[in-house]
Amino acid sequence: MEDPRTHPVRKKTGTLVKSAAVALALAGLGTGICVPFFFESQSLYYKFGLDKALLQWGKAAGLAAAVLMVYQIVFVSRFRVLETHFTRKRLWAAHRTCGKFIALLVTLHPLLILGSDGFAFFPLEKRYWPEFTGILLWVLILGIVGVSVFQSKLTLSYRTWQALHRAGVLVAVCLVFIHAGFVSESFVSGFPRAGLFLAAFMAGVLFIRIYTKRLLNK
Amino acid sequence: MKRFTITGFLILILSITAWAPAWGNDWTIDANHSTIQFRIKHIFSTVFGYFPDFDGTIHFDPEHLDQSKFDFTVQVKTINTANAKRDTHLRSNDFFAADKYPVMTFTSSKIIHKQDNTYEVSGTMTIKDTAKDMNIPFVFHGTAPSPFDKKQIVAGFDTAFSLDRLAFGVGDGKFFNMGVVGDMVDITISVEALRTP
Repeated sequence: MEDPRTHPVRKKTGTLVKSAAVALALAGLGTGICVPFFFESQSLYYKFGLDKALLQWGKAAGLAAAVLMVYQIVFVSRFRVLETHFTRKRLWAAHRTCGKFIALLVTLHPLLILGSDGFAFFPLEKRYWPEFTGILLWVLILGIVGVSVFQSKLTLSYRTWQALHRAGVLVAVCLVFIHAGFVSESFVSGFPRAGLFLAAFMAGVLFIRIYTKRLLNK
Repeated sequence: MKRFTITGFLILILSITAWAPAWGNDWTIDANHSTIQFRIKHIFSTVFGYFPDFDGTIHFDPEHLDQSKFDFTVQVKTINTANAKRDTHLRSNDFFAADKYPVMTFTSSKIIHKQDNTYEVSGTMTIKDTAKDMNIPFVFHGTAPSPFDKKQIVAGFDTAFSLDRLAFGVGDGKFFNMGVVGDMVDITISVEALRTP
């Protein structure tokens, strides 16, 4: 079988496919990041200067993390077209790097948002449940990434780590859409809401595909 | 020695006599049936809110106003305007800086009778470490045996007054100058207090 990466014609097609995939991925990421700048929630009306920038970039960091979380599912979905042009090894490397970026972004997200309010913390009241969901999500994501990075040092067997990772990721992806959908007024209606539903739908379809394939391969 | 004993006894008697009306009129605030509400203009509309967590001591006897006293402490972080995002903003440095100034207090210094059941309490209102003397009118609705517990007496107090939030540093005037948030805050306090006769 010819290697599409070395055959002249297929190499060109491969470059196109790779470029299209990267462009699509960047477009998705850019769209997510742009939401707080083009669809301002009322909380942004009352912020000026540095506070406004902190709040906008804090929201953008959270949304970028959410988009990357969906990409993470794509990286491990074993799409033949991606594995042909990027190689499975590179996709797994991208999955690992992306995980670290997500950990960084979800740490920046609350720091920037709370920073815009001078770190005025919300009290333990039921009405702040979307924010508490965010805290739970933050702990979960850092846990998932931390355990993955330090798997060998934690003396976890691969099977145990894999089971924890898969379960944790499933919960985290569910929580990220609940958190994003309810924490900000940006997603109450219009394009951002449609985008959120589309991303949630895509994540759902990808998970179903992954779990169906695993079941069929057993 | 005898002289000291008599003097001591007299001091004790006098102390008890002086404090007796206050002891007899120590009221406990019934938090479930007392509210501190406020309203403030937002462009054209009026935003309503309340502070659910507050405490205080009430010594009130209409016959002994010189020994009557009101003290209130309000937990700022509990501010509630039925909008979680707005409340977070109100707790921030733009308004209350609730982490740095967690409480607002009022301590009375004098109470006078105005007319009928209307009184006026003078005292110091402290918000964000800014203390200002204020005269606040209030209505004393009287006392009645509690319909639920005959061993208790209920008293009712109502007051409504306005204060300039900017004078207390609650905001720097930015939103006021933009015509977004008003400067005057209308406050309504309704208190039901209990004591055992």
